[in-house]
Amino acid sequence: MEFDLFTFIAQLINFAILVFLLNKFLFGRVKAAMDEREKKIAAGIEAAQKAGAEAEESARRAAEELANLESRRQEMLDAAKKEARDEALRIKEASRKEDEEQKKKWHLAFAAEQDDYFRKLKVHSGRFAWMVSEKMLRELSGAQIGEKAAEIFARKVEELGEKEASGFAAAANRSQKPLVILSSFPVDSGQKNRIALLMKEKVGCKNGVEFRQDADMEFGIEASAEGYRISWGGKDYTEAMQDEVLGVFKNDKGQGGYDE
Amino acid sequence: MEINPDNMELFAIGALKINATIFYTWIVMAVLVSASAVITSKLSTGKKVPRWQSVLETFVTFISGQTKEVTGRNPWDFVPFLGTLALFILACNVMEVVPLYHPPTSSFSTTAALAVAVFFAVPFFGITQKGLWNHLKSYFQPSPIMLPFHVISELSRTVSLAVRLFGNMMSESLMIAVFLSVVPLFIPLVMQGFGLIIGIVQAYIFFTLASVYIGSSVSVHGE
Repeated sequence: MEFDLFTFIAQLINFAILVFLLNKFLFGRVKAAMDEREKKIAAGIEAAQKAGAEAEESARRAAEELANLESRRQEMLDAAKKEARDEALRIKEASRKEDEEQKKKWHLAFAAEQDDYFRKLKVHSGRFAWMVSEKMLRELSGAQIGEKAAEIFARKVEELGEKEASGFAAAANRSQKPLVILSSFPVDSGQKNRIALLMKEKVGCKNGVEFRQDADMEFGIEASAEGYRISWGGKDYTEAMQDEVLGVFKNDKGQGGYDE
Repeated sequence: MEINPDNMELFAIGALKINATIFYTWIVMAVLVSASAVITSKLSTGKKVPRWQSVLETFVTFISGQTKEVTGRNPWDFVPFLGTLALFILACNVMEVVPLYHPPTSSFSTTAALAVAVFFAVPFFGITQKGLWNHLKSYFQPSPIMLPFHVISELSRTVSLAVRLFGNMMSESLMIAVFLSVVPLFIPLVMQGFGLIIGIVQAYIFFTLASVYIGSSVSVHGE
């Protein structure tokens, strides 16, 4: 175990130099690098914590927003349900009203059809009755029914009261046109002249008389002016027949048929 | 056969005769400083760390961790001294595997110099950390009677530090030399392996004891 003082001192100096150099080139630099990395990691952790806090805040806000949206959705749903109920009631009411309107229309249409039916029935049955009567009258007495009808009409004109005749004449003269006499059959010229004369002298019609044959008319003959009417025909018979027909479709209490 | 590198004069610089101890110490210093300078010239502070930087950081972290455990204080005040001590002894011992190399730690002059460095470092750190008065007071703790014992303790542990490292490294060198002369094949190789382990262990022991001595000097009585 030899000891060399020179070597001892040299090694002390060498070691001191080595401490200085390694402190400069190794420990100082490594410590600085590690501190820098630690700072970065700390900054990263801080940023991550901040991001985490922000994420939590965002999640909380999102949850609140979701709750608000859920509340709004429920409100909208309730409103929509209420609106749907109201709409359903409105549609139902509208439908009911429409049904009633339609029912009314149907009733009106049916009534119009009924009137048209009875008008045609009257015309056809009147004509039929006219033909039957004309044939029977011709075969039984050799007379023409048209002549008899015109004769009865002329007699009714002759038998008019003074008051009725003046009222009829006033109404007929106000129109400034000839008085129209409608008939369901052709009136011969003799009867025409007789009736025209009666209308002029007995009743007082100043504008003359015009005879027309009406194909749609029930059997008979009539003269009318502003509500006044002189007539003879089968109208009373056909109206009685109409009542009879309507009575067929009704029950014992008088319900049903064409009146419903 | 000469096994004391102090007696191997390699060259002279003027009147100064440079022996193997000083020369190989310079070699070790040059290797350590240049390697440190090269590796730490481009230190990464990012996530990706180069391999050699990782080795250095592992070593430095180990030294600072051990120092902190022993001293209980901020280790970076002591790391340059203790780290250099550990690294120098480790390098001196490990480089023994290089042919023709004579470890400076097999010279008593070197181990004595290192032990004396520790001897002076203990009061230096004690005074800088606690103050002169507190440091001096510690020699009289727990009783003034303890002063001579403290002084003897300081001296004896310095001597023991020097002798322990010198004895281990010198004996290892001597054993290798003996085996080389007796059984030149295979056995010296095994002994070299053992020598590496012994060298690493001795470096760790020297570093640990030095940190314990410094730790005891910087700690306040009763801590």
